[in-house]
Amino acid sequence: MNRIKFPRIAALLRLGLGALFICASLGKIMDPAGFALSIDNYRMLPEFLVALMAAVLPWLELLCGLALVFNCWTPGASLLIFAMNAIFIIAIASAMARGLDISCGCFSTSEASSRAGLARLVEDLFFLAAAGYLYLSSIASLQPPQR
Amino acid sequence: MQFSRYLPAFALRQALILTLAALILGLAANQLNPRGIAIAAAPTGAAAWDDSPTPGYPRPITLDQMQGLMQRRAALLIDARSREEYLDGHLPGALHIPFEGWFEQIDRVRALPHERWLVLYCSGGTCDLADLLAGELIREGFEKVAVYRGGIAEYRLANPLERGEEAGRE
Repeated sequence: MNRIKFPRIAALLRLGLGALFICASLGKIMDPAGFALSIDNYRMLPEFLVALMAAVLPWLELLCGLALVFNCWTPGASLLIFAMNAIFIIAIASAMARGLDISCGCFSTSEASSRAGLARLVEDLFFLAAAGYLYLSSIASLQPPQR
Repeated sequence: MQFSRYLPAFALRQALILTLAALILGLAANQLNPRGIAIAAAPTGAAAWDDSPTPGYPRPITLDQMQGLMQRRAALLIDARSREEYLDGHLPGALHIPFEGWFEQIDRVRALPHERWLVLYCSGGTCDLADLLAGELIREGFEKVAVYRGGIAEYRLANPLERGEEAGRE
């Protein structure tokens, strides 16, 4: 683990990913019921977890997005964004494997929003990689060098 | 060693605090949001019942919900089974409108109240008489039709049945 090799790229990724997660969270915060429906469409969680996730997940996205934008607690926030994206990828892949034709619920809760499909999967893989890079570079810059 | 190097305690601590903050904010915001959602069923949740009609399809109803409606006098019980079965034991106060031959009672059916829930039942288990009768009532224009799928089988586990003719009938 070295120090950040490309600080400008890391800063750009941080701001971009942060802004993205803030944008993604706002619509869902306004419409928890719609988001709950989106989650429920994936048919992966029991009812009470769907409701809990619909209420809490958008706020987690917002807090992590803000943390990245303001470069405060970047390690924790990028770790969570990494984990969230991993979960989104599993959810979308499983929906595709089961042949579910559902809206993604990624950025908006409306029915007309994009389908949970390959495009979203690739997008989330990119975000996953970005969050992973941010995480590793942020903990590297905060840890004492080994030996 | 490697593990703690890639997941240092400070990063995990930050992640945990962010998660807890989101949990608190999310639950609080949901409480304050008029369009918020029900997270956990309230203690009385099993008996909660949305009173808005469901035109076009019968609404399933649980024993608790049905008893709640009966206490509020907001429901009529209707037994859809045969006469023999009805006489042998039915839910207290239930009317008898057997699906087989229900049309012979069409005048009585049309006189049923529209503002109260018509809660239909049959033997329970996989019985379908209540659902079939529900379909006919819906075609007759009733919009508050519920089916108690537990039926006699579930009800009699904890409650006494009433025997004989309909109350108020000879």
